[in-house]
Amino acid sequence: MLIKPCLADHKVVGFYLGSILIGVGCVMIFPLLTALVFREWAVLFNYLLSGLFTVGGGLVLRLLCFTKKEIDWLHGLAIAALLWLAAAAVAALPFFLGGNYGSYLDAFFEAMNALATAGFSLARDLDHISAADNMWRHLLMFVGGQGIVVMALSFLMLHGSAGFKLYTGEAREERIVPNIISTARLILQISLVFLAAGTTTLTLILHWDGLSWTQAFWHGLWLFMSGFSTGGFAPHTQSILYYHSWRLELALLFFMFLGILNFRLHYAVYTGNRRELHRNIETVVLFFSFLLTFFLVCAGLLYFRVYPGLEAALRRGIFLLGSSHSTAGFTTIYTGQLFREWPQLSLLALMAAMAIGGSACSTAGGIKALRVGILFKALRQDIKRLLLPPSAVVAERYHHIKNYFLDDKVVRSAAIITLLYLVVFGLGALAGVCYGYPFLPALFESISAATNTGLSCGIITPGLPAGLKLIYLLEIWGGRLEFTAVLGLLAYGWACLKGK
Amino acid sequence: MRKIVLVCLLVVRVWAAPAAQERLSSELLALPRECDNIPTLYRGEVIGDILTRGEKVWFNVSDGENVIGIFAPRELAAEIQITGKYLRRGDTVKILGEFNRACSEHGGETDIHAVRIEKIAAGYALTQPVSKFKIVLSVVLALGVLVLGILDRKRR
Repeated sequence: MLIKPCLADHKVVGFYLGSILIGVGCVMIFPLLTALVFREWAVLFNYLLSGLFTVGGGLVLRLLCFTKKEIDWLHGLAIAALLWLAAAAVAALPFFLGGNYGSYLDAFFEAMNALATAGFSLARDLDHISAADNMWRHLLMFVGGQGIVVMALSFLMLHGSAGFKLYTGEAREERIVPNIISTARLILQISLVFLAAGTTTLTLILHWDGLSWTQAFWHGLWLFMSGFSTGGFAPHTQSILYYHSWRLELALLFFMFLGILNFRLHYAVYTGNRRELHRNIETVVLFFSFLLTFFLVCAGLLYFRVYPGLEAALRRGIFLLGSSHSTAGFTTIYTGQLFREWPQLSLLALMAAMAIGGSACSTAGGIKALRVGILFKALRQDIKRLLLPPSAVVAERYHHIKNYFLDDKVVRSAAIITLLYLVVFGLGALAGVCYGYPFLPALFESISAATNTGLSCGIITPGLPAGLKLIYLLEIWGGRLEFTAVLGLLAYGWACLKGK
Repeated sequence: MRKIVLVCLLVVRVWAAPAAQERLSSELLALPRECDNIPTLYRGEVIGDILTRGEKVWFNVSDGENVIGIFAPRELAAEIQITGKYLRRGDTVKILGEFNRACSEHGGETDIHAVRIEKIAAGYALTQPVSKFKIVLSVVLALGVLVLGILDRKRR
């Protein structure tokens, strides 16, 4: 029998939502300080107002929904799903108040793209936005890349079992160490170490490439936050093309590569287990999928002579492929050039790369290398079963930090999530076609949205119909949470309506 | 010496060619093969930063629809004083140069190699006054948050 959630259940949802919203409001201190440094007084008040409103709203929720009731799995999923919507809603406030977005929906779209590390932008004039807005866009990506719940756990805003249920709801199933708070803190520590090293590297490169030290620092910081989080926002409309620098492209490729690796793998390598790099099922899948898609992208570019020589084809091809596979979405070509100049073979390879994405428990999106690896192993197991005598016991193993036997439960879970992604890719493409766009660009944009890549072929612009904006928003939100939390929220809503 | 000869050849090629046609970025990007390697006039606002690379510079010019990278000798860009940023409109320039759909010199980048840069309007600062309403609202909200914070602390 379906049990109808009571007032106490709603209070649990409201209480935890309020607690984390207070944290989101406090994070607005960073763009506020940036506005102070750059003397952007009008923008400063946008962040002050938005921060106070968010903290105030969070406190009201905490007071109204005060409860000591334990959180259960359905609460965890519902809170995680609602949290990402609520966080995007409040994060959009300073964008909307700044007036650089056509409507609140556009500002919300920007904030959701930043948090979910998608990277589509609906800013009207990105080249003239304030430094504080740029800080906020990129910081949201950094926070969203690690996970809002991970941040809340790191700063002790959530505890114990409640934290673990929310952590799982945020599409993070793996723990680096047994304790969930320690896991969250390790994720944050790894990211902060890379942030310091990455910002320094990018600052040096950008200064070498002609930016002043100050500009090089800010651009380096923002690009690292965006690149490592596999987000893909950049301070200018041209994305990475703005810098005209192969050195920067190379460095960003490396940081995107770091971003797609599992935090457990980072920790394993840090603790001396370097063999994990070539034994882990995820790195093996990523290596072969990158190799295959690289071959297809370059074959298309070279065969159809899109670029004047091998060097140009490799430079454009590798960067865009790296950007797609990592689901970052940085670009070094103009939006329209993808479908006007790139052959369909290369585009299909980019779509496949986006669909596979990065590792589980990383900042990347997509179906994830672990699931793809598990499904291949399951296929191999079934083929072996067909070939061997019926009495033979066929056991398949995979290595992911530890050795695991492939069981039906794991395969089923991987297959369901993969199927959900494929259905969403199809539905998103269908929606695009219904709005009058050709099939292939509609499919490209849909895959890019659901995998949180943000590489656009020109459909997602400020002039996009509101209905399609909402559909892409749903894809981005659902894709970031790997649909589980969204299904949990739907189940919660269904129980409210039909439960007894 | 080789660089000087190359620049001279480019200048001669651009000047000897039929009169350059002024084009919008949307035209250049929509018909890249038709516009490839031909003298082009392009007009727009200089945005962001001037990136110095030895004796050459890179800068980006927006015509309101797209932004195209311009590669030019340093002395040609010396006239550019103000670049577009937050609350600042950059100099408007008219560029004469060769449009490259996929520049072989710059790893396949779409760019314009400028041989003449003319500043047609100087950049200027913009103002954005702080709204008094926002200041008052911030104070009211701050007081409200303070009260709510005290209540929350008491409840805990």
